Amino acid sequence: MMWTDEELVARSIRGDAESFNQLILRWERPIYALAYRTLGREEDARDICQETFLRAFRALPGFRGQAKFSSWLYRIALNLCRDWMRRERRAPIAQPPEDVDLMELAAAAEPSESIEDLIARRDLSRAVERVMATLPEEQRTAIVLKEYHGLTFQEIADLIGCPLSTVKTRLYQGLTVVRRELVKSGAMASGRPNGPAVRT
Amino acid sequence: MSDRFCTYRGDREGALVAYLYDDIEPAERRVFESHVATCDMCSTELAGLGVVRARLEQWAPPEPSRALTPQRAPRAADRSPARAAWYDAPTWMQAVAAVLFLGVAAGAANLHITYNQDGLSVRTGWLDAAQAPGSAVAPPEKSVAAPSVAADSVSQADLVALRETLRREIEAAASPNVVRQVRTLVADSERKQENELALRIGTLYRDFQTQRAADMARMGRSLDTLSNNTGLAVQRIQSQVPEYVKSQVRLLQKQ
Repeated sequence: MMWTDEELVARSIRGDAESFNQLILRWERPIYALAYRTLGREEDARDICQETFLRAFRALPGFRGQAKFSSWLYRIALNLCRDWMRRERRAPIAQPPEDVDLMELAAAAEPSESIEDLIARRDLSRAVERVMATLPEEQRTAIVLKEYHGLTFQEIADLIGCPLSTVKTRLYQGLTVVRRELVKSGAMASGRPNGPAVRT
Repeated sequence: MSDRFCTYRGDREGALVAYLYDDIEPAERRVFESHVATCDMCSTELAGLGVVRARLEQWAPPEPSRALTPQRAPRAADRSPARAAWYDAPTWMQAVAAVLFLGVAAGAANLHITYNQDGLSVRTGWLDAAQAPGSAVAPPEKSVAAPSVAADSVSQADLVALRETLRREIEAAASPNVVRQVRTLVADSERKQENELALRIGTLYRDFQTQRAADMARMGRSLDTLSNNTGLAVQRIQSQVPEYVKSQVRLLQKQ
């Protein structure tokens, strides 16, 4: 039987450890991905992921369901990421390019994908990662939460505690920078390089 | 259509990303859609941002090299990094580590467990049981030094039973030629395994004897040194005793 997050939370609060394990299995990948895209390093992302669930477990009795469980988890993870960045006093790390491991690439290939396509996809992934690492934290967070986790603008606004219009502005600005930098790096065809002129 | 100026009245940036992500109120969508249809600038930018989204989609975090979280609910108590690493290890690895630890510990202590009329006794150390005083007259002991032997014999019995069952089934199902071939294969396999086992036991025994001889030689040297030192000390005391007696006699004479 597939329990909802809320049901699993309620059972976990009553002491059912297996229910919390289900929540971990369900949410560990998204939390890891969020932390990785925010910090840029696997090791740290894994630590953040573990710490997120540890804190969630401890704070579970105080969770009243005022937000979705996933939003609550995202908030814990984002706060941990911010603490990490403050402590390390640095921006996210763009992973340095590594030699292409053909075996690894072949293992990751889609059935219809050639090795050339795969290398191109990996290069693009790295280009995106590098560009994302240059963004200010708030723009990057807005993009990550919207693009990769599919949160609504309202959920993001609630999560990071700012007005809805601010979320949209950050997202727009972030996407515009990404677009410009991708064009610069050759990962994207040039469109209209200059920002729009708005006549009111 | 204007490609130089946008005449959208309202939060253009907000409407653009809301439309882009399809997270927009129906009324606002209708207004913006009709605007985009006439605004080259907005339609171009919308298309460009759509490509950006397609590029962003290609950014995938690497597969974590090991488990993200321990597959159990965390405990309320804090865990040290060492314990966390232990919990992160797969169960089979923990079991292997535990068995290795016990094996090494028992080996290091040369653990010897005996059970006889006097009860249970556990002895450690490298002294050979055959050389121990009184061992020649000791009552027959029921050794339980290697509990795994019992387990092995049980599993061996199981294997033999299984082999017989398979043999009967194969004989019933296969032609005489196939049975002969299978028997030959099984016999070859068993012979190889026996040879390999004998070889390993021989190597192990040789290594053990070499190590034991080295240990005994070292112990002998240590005993010799101890004996020499003791002898010198006795000689020194013997040489000092007369002097001490003489001095005491002299003192008594003075008194």
